[in-house]
Amino acid sequence: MRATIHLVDDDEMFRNALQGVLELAGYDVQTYASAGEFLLAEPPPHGAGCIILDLQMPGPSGLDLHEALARRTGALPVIFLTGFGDVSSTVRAMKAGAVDFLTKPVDRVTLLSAVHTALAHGEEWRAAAERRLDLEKRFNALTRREAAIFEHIVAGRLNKQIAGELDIAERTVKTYRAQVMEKMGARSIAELAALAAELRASNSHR
Amino acid sequence: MASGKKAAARERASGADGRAGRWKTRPGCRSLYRAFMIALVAWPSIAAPEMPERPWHVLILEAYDPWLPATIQLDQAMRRALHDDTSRLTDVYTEALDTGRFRGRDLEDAFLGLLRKKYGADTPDVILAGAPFALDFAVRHRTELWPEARIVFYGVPSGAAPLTLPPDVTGQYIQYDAAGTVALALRLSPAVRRILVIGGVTESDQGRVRSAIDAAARLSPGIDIVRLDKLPYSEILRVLEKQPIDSFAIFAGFYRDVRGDTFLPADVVEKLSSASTVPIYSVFGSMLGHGIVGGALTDFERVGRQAGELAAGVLSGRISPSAAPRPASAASCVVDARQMARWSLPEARLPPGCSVAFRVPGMWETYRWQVAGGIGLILLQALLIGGLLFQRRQRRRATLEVHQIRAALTHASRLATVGELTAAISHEINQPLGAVQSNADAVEMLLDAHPPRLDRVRDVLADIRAANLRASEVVRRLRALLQKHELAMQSMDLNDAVNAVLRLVATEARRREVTLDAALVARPLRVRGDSVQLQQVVLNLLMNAMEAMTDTPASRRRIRIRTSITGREAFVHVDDGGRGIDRDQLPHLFESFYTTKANGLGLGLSIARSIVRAHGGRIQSENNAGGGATFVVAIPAERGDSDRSQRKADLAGIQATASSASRPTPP
Repeated sequence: MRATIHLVDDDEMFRNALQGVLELAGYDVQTYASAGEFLLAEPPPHGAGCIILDLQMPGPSGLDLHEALARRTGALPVIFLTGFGDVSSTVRAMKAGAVDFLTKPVDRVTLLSAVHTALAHGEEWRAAAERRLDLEKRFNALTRREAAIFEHIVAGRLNKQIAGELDIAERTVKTYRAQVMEKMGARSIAELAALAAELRASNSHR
Repeated sequence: MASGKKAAARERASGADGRAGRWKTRPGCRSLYRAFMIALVAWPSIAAPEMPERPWHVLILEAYDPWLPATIQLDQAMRRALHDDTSRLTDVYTEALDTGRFRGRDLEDAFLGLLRKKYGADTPDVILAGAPFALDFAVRHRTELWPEARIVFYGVPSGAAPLTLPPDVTGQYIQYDAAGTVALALRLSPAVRRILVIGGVTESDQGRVRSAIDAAARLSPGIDIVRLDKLPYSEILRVLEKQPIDSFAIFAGFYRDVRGDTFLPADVVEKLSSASTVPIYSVFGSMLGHGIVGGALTDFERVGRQAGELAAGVLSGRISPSAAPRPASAASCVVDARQMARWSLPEARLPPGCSVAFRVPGMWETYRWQVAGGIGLILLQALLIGGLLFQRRQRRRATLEVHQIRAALTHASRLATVGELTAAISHEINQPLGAVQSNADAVEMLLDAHPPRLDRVRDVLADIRAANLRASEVVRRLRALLQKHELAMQSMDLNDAVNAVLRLVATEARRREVTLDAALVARPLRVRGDSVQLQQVVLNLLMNAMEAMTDTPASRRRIRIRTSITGREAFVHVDDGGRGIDRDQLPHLFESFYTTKANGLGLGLSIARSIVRAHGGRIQSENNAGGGATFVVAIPAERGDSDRSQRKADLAGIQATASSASRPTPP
């Protein structure tokens, strides 16, 4: 699947030039004249790709757009482009999770390597997101009783304790436990605990 | 009580002689007073017992015509000397025998009779006898007329006086310096070949003729001496009229010519001189001014004074009436400057001590103080003018310096203002540079492709060129604004200046999230001005407006720029949505170094105003009703051009309506 580069810059001349380079490098390029245009794009950008964002634009700045995008799930990695990077905006951008910060004019080696890195990041993020999605799907497949048992197991309780807590037989707990392990695809309690941590992180992110 | 009252009344009645009453009471004092009064009355008779004194009586007996210049001089000088030298009043009478022209014993008798009848018993104390004839007359007739009179003679040549003088006769011999006169003439005209001697036939004339001939023969031996004395006057005149110029004449006196005609020497000399072809010299001081060049001249004024003093001495007893006669003062060298000039005789040849009479005094001699004052005044004036010129030059230099400094300041301020735009400007340049870089990369990639995609290279190169042009346009605009330049007033459109500035600050405005709203009038705003400086004015106003809105919410950061024109002025309005101008700031707004900004120089508005004023315009500021401030710049419109273009525009409008009315509108 070809990656799509989303190019947001108000300067048409520069935009066209950069688009040419990226297309020649084998990428699909979508261009936007402003942050607003990008946000309103239909359909919303998806799939493999990254965003190249100009910092100095009229209206909402690239930084504002980036901060808005970062709150979305499955966000695309962002490369900032600026005529003059001042310290405060660089810090703000990096804190918000920018992959790279390039200054104009930018040569193609720097640009393409930044794009390459960003796409790799994007790939990683996408894999992680898929994995998380899969995990959530599996967790959601658990029955209420199984989910409760799952909570207790990762909390480190023994079968006997769980049986007492839920007022069921210890053998029944064992059966549920085997079902939870199987549904979540965990081979050990340690693995299950790691999955639980991942789930918790994804929940808190949401 | 009653008796006391009465006594007081009496005393009051006698009032006036209250003092006398007191004298009465003191008899000793009274007798003393009387003695003093007697002494006072008796005094003059004691001090001057011979009073009243009879005035001295002096009779001047003149042998010649009393109206001859010499006679007048002598007479006046003697009277003056007598008046000055005697303590007593002196009555002076003059009688003239005029023997030079009238002769005869019978005349003498008649004259004697006249004197006897005229003066009678009033014996003269002194008879002043002038010339040998008068001396002879006085000596001969003194005994019968006034035996007590003493005789003082004057004007008598030593040779013409009797060898022995009777008692109570004294006097002074006159001296005529013929030798001195000839010597002077020879000195002035050394190349002379002939000396003419002019004279009459009277005894005295002849005496002087002889001494002149003697002197000439002695001083210039062998020289041709021509006697002009035994000739009738008319003949002498004729001879003088035809004299070769290598000669001069000596005038020895002329009372009577050979024909017996009598003359006044002064008249003769005047006529001879005006007719003569040669210079004439003489021995008489009285002839000076009557046409003679000059000579060793006998000064009759001096001779007269000496004679008068001698007479006064005899009268007062200081000098013995029988004292031996003495010579009068010697003749002195005098020349007439006019005659010197007439005969081209150089003054340089005059002997030392020779005085020059009738010299036309030079400007300097006549108006010394006036001339000095005038020159002083001119000098003073020149000094003043010089001072003023110097001052003017200083002032001009200072003005020039001020101009230069103001220009430098204006330029510096422009640099500073543009400096504030650095971020925006570098962005503006960076954008096309970024495009150039990427396009160049694209070209490389197109060439590297297999096969190279040359078809697209051309398009990308066109893009490079366009981007490059854009960058250089920014630089050009900046350079125009930043370069140091001489003020160049020319016809320009104020709208162009506004547009140029709008382009320049567009990026900066975007950076500051300020909306620029431009509403420029469609007609050209023709003014006479310096484009760069007027751009600076607009730039300063826009920067000022943007600064004023730093704390304003982004949604209200809006600057409206409007231009308009009336017949007289072109206007630029800049109004912002900031917080306006505080009331106490308003009066100082355009002052130098007045700023409300933390890091402002306070020059922007001040320079804007000085530029506007240099263009003959004005700048004003006021707060808007709805918040913010408006700055208005008014520059005098270029009258003729704007009118003409207006008329042209109107005409074009009329034609357009006319043509559109006459032609059916196309579908």
